[in-house]
Amino acid sequence: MSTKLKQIQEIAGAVKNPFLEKAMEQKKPVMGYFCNYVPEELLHAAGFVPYRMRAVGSTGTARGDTYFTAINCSFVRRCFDQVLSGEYDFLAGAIVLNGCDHSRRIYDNWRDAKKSGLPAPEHLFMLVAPHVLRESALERYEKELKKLMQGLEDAYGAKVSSKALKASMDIYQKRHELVCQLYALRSQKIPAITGAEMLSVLMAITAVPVEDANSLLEKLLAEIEGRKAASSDDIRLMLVGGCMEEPEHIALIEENPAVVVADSLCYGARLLRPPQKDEAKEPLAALTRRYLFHPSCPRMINDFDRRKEALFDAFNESGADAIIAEKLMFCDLWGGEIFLLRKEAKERGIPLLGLEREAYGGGEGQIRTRVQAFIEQVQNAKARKQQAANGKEAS
Amino acid sequence: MSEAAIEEYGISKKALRLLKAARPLYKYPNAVYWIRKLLGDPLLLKENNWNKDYRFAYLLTGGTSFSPEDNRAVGILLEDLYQYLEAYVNPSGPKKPMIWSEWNLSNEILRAFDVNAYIPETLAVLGHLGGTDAALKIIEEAENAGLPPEYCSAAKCAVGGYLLKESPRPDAILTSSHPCDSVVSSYQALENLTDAPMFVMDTPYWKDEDSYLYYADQIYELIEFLEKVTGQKMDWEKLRQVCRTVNATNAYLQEISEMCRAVPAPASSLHLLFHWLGRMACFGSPSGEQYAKIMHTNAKKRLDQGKGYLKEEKVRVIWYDVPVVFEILHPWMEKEFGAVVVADFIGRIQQFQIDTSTNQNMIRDLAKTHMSVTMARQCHGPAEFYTQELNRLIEEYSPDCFIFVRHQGCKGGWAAMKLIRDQCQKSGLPALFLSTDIFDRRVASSQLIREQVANFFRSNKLA
Repeated sequence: MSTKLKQIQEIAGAVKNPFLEKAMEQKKPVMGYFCNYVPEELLHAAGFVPYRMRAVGSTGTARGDTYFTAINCSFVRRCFDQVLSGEYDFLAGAIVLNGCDHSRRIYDNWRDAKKSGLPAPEHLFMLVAPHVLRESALERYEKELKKLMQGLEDAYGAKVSSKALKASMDIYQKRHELVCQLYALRSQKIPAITGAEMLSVLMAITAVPVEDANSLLEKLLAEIEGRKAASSDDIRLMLVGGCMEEPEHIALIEENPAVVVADSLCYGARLLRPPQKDEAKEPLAALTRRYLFHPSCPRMINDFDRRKEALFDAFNESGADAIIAEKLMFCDLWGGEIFLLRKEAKERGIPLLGLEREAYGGGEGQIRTRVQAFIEQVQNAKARKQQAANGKEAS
Repeated sequence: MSEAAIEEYGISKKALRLLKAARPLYKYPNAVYWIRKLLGDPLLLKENNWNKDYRFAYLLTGGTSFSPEDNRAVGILLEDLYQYLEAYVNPSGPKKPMIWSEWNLSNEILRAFDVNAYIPETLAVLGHLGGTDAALKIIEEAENAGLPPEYCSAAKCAVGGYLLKESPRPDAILTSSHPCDSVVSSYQALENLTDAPMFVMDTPYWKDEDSYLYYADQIYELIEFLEKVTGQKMDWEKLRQVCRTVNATNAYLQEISEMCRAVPAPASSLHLLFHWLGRMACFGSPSGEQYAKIMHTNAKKRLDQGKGYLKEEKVRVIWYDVPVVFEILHPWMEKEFGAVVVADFIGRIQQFQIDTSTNQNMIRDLAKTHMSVTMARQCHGPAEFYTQELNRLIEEYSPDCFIFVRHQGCKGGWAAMKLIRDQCQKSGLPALFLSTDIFDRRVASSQLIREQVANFFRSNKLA
């Protein structure tokens, strides 16, 4: 295995990592955040190390369940469990987003826990992102970002200048380009990186200072060029879903003669925020547009058609054979999305397997069986198609 | 289900037949009162083959507790519900655009256009008028089609109703980002299934002037959208009249809510809950105002005389959650335990008055009223929107206990459960957390729910 990949997997497998610790030694405050609608660039420009909240290494939900219930999202329960265990005591602050009904309550419950003397950073923020894509929503979102900036300034004296924001956007743009290169290596005929490895990379780069992330990505790209991480006979999969942060789960899928070559995941393609065509020159306005119009998730109500087209474009471009769409239990948003994707995939003749699971929840046996059966189905269909094509050629 | 097996509007037609039969009867509210008294117990206590088709209607309209004067008001609202169903089941006259509107939206704007409004989730309630298995049939249809079982049952009814051909084809759909993920998600499914253009109100998280302005701006966008899809111009004078009616209706209902602070309470939350149903289907109608006015007069009369809604009020309940619609418990609790729900989550009205002096003011205040509609008011935003209102109820309504439904679709509510429990505990009052659902009787049977409520009252020496 590549030494960089090994290092990246170690970073992805723990809450803290040496890069983060080094940054903290240098007195750089770490700002935790939930969801892809919190602009990392803005936090970086304010002098923070943006850190995407996760439940990695979670051992249970006992503390989390004092606030949340059994019909709430297992990611939220596990992450909040770690919060209450003090595993995130290194955070200078945290930003919660109105991503879904489960995660938005972290803001309420964390404030309550703080009042009771339970572990909490000094400042908690709620960022509200619109649920629709349109120009008036763009204005609203920019206002919300300005409110957040003001909040950061009031709490920490962290003022964000346009110049600093532009500089941060450039650094993150570089990260974006490096990740795109990685995506290109993954979707080539014989992928240079597996789906499980890719997830580790994306988890790692959202847990370290972006400067270190870029350096890690550059080195990784150099190391894996020409690498063959799968076989040309493997079934090529696209993985679709929301919160997924267990590389071992994707590894379980890839135990089969299959490899994940494309995705639409929170730790995945939705981390990519390409510059928009009609973006303003003013950095904050440009950033706002970039974040609002980046590949959306089902929390955005009026964007299914655009989302669907982007998804099937990525599917076609990557040469994928089938889709595995996943949701965590009790997730209305992804439940509805899979209902629609199943219908759309059927119309296009694309095999789609819908899976439901709990974050870090085990159930490997059942998932293994279902995936195995699905892969066999796809293999058989592919072989039949090939045979038919050969027969046509021969006649 | 195969295409052939589906009868178009089968459930709605059944509900319509029941309303048709009830309409002439309600011209004689005294007779209704005495018929109910005579038939009371068998209808009230248990569902059987004989009563299952109309027991729900009986319970929803107050069982044996509503006075003849209350029945007069009920008759007026039933007429509105009849017209609502009739408009899409048996349409007559020139065809009007059919606009679907999500159940937590306020429909004043729609009334200012010449359109038919249809609220997909009302099928979950009105469906029961066609028999108690109706809602379940719709829910199962949605689940069988692949909708996630964890969706709110109202959302499943909205989608299942369309699949079962219970809903008219929409020319356009209006929805919002409140109150929950089920709405956010299910309307994407409805847009996709119906292929109708959809407008989404993005409900702000906070309640401040800036948020109201954002919402108001969207109302202008909504008007533009409706003008485009209907080919009509918005009738501002009609809207003004509707807003005046809404103001009067809300004022009456809000006062009924406030009068319930008195001990004994001169009204029950069931008076308000029934209006909630009417409100969804026919908000801003003169009948809605008349219903509110009569109920208000009746409650005020009782209040002035120092009389309660119940002859003997023994337990004052705060029901701070959705009702159990498939088994309306109020008449049974009243009769069996002298328990009256003095404040609730759904029926209670806390509204702004709309300034109709200028179009601009009207839209600004409509934004405020929309964001204060039941569920939008409490569920969308920080937990304080929920807990602060609960706290006010505890302080002002002299409650003896709380009942919560723990509706399985309400994930945001479940995620704030500790905060709610803490508040109950702080009050020192007993709280019952039922594990059931608003419309789906598969989650807990009627009998089980009643047993839990009865045990709760008895074990806390409330009855």
